[in-house]
Amino acid sequence: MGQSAVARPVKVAVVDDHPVVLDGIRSWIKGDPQGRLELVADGQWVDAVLSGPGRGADVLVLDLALFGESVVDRVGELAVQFRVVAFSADTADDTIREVLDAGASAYLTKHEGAEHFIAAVVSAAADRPYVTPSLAKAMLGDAGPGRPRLSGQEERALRLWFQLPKKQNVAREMGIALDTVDQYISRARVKYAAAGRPALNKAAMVARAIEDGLVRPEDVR
Amino acid sequence: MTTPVTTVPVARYARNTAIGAIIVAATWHLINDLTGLVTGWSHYRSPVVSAVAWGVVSALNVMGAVSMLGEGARARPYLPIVGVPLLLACTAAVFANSQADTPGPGAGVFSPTNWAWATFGWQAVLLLWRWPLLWLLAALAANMVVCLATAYATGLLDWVSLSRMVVVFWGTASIQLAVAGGATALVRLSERAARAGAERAELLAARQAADEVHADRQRRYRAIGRAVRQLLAGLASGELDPADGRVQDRCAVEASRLRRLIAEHDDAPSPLLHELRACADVAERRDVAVTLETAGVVPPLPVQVRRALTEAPIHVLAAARSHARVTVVSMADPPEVEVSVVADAEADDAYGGAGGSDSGRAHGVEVTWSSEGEGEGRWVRAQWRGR
Repeated sequence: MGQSAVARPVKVAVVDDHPVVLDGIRSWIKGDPQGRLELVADGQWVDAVLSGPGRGADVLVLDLALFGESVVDRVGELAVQFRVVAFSADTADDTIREVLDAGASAYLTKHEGAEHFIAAVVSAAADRPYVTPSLAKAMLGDAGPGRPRLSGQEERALRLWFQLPKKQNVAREMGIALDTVDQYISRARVKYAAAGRPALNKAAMVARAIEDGLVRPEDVR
Repeated sequence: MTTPVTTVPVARYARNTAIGAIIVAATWHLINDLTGLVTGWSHYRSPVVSAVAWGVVSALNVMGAVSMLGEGARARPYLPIVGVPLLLACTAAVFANSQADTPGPGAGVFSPTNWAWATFGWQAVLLLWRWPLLWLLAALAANMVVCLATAYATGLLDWVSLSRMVVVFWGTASIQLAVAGGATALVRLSERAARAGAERAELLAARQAADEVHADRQRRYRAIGRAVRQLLAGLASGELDPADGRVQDRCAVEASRLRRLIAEHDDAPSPLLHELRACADVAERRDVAVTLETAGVVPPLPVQVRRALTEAPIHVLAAARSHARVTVVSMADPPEVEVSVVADAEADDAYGGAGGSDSGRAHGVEVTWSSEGEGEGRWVRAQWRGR
């Protein structure tokens, strides 16, 4: 968003139990014409990846199921050290909301990877919200008591983004500019970051959004 | 779901214990108190005062009984708040009124004409039914204080009557407190039992539903597994060429079917999703890659609403050429379900002979057609709003 030329590429570490996924990610990173990401470490185990150069990563991309074991409960602890982007085959709303609540910056399902991977990681590194259609779905489907209050337009933008995942079409349907669509969706995401369990990355995202003028402090109190 | 199981036995227990207490209080008041009033008529200073007191106690007895047997025994706090002081006033009035010409130690206190202080306890049990036991204890103590004060004021309080009164208070109060406390405990116990029963039933129902869903999922997994195995075997043996567009289409379709199966998390069978999945399967047989995603929990819907919700989406799915995205958004408050399909379908096919109108409404379902982007395809939304 906004920042097209960053001083240095974002350092990213990737954990996934499938080598084919790691290969795919490497090719996405290499294929990015702007070279926005630099892969500092990848591997199949969280601790192995983080014991080496992975320690210095800005963003940790984490598959939530490693060798059949869920690592959802480690997101909170990892999110203290890194911006965590979850990259998972799990599309369940409960999982997405739990990971978000624990302090993950973004959520990508495996089939959203090709389209959103680079942008999601770049946004996470800058503490900016990035909402994939699956994340929009989890926010829409939230009926929990801790659900933040979204405005009518924010909710509508989320819904349309989930239904027809093309921002141009959302903008056309709502009769607003593309940037405004992004604003509505991002604002909804920031409200989520401000709600629920406090976490470092969530606070950083809210602070960044206030700095960017995306939300006013009183909107997220 | 829980209401019928929990409330029925609890209501029965509460009602039967209440009826027991009412019978005791009413019988005592009718037989003991009325006899005392009638036989002592000529001994009262003012018989009218005693008769009025008897009437007041009768009225409170009936009101207490009605409140106990009516809906929500604790719904009317004014009854104990007004009733208990009235009862105390009756105790004092009859006490002061009946002492006149009965000689001997303790005679005035324990004569049948002085019936009100003894009837107090059971009437208080009725008025304070299901209110905290401490309230009843306080009321019984207040009655004792009023009796002693009246006896002292009227010069009837000697050591014999004092000791006899204490014994009587002790004996009756313990029975009354036991009945009231026992009733509360019984109701609480039966409530707990009923709740446990309801939980068990709910668990059983959930398990049954989960079993059904599991069996259905296994069935579909076997079907998909067969297709995937054939595809993989074909690719491995070189029989199928990965560069062939049709083979790529088949791979895309099987991948989306597998993905959908893995993505299913609902453990209760949802007929709406089941129907949409079935339509997706049909489209996939024509090599259309279908994504089906749901946000929120689909509420139970009448069959007409479901049909109205799925009809237009089915047309678009049927007309899709290579890909379709089906989404279901369910909101709880206010209740709303929206089924949306975006597909690269020909506009004419997608109408499915629906005529010229761009939207329609049936069974509270509003259907909106539009084209997605510039000639890219069709988009249909069917939205139901509950009230």
